[in-house]
Amino acid sequence: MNKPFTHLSLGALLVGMFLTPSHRALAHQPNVFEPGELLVVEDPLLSYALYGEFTQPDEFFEAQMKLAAPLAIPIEILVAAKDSMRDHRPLYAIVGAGLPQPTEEELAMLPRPLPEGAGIMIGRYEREDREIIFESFTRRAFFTNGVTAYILPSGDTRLWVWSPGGTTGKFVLGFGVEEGGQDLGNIFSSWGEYAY
Amino acid sequence: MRHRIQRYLNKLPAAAFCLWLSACGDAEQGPACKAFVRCVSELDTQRSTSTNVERFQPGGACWNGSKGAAVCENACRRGITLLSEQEPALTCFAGLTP
Repeated sequence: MNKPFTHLSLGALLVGMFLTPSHRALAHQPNVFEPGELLVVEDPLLSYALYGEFTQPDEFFEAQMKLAAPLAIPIEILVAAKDSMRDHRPLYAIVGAGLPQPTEEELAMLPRPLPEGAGIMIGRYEREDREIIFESFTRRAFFTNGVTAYILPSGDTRLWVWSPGGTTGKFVLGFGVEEGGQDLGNIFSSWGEYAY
Repeated sequence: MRHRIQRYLNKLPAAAFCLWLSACGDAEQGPACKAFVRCVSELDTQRSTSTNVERFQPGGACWNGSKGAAVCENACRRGITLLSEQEPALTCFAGLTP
């Protein structure tokens, strides 16, 4: 076989491996969540880690997904596993058409009025002491509320995050599966946003 | 020296290929997600919808490695509990232990 051609083919193979779509689909894409700004999730079929910080007790974070069909997806909310964060328990809710109507108690918890025609599913803390997990992008330990598989409705679906206890601090809203260690997002360029 | 480097270079694609394969992983779909997918399918039939459950199905993103598989199994277990509260009439919960 022609040697230069062989080396060229092998080089192309290696480059191809790292650019293959399966690796793109495996990534847990990091994004910075800003309070008061709508974060549009362009491709809900990818996995995301949305990093945000409550600097004020009443701040509100919102992400939007436009789904062509209902989507089953794991969602959890994470907080750095540190003593100072023990009482920081931000909550998330999935808001969209066709979801269950809230109870009076749930309505009272919401940071915003529910849009006309929308229903809601509010995240829960499964354990009072919270499970601790290791997140491989930031290589840090986090408290989790308990990852749960939800069925998101088709259409305009929103994810709300707020701090019911009025506590401040960082959080990560993770959805999808953190399958690999690839850093295909902008985590290193914005390390200060993620690490603690 | 040149031959030795050449030998390493010749082995590099095979090593990279093995690394790539190991990154893909080979976990199997777990029982909780198997049940969750079955329940979603029953719900789809009732609602005439077609939910994307690709992640949780065999060969889906959940099963690319042991860590992701554990996360998905936990997610499915809690997802089944949630579904059983919201849709108690589904028959897929029969025989499942919470």
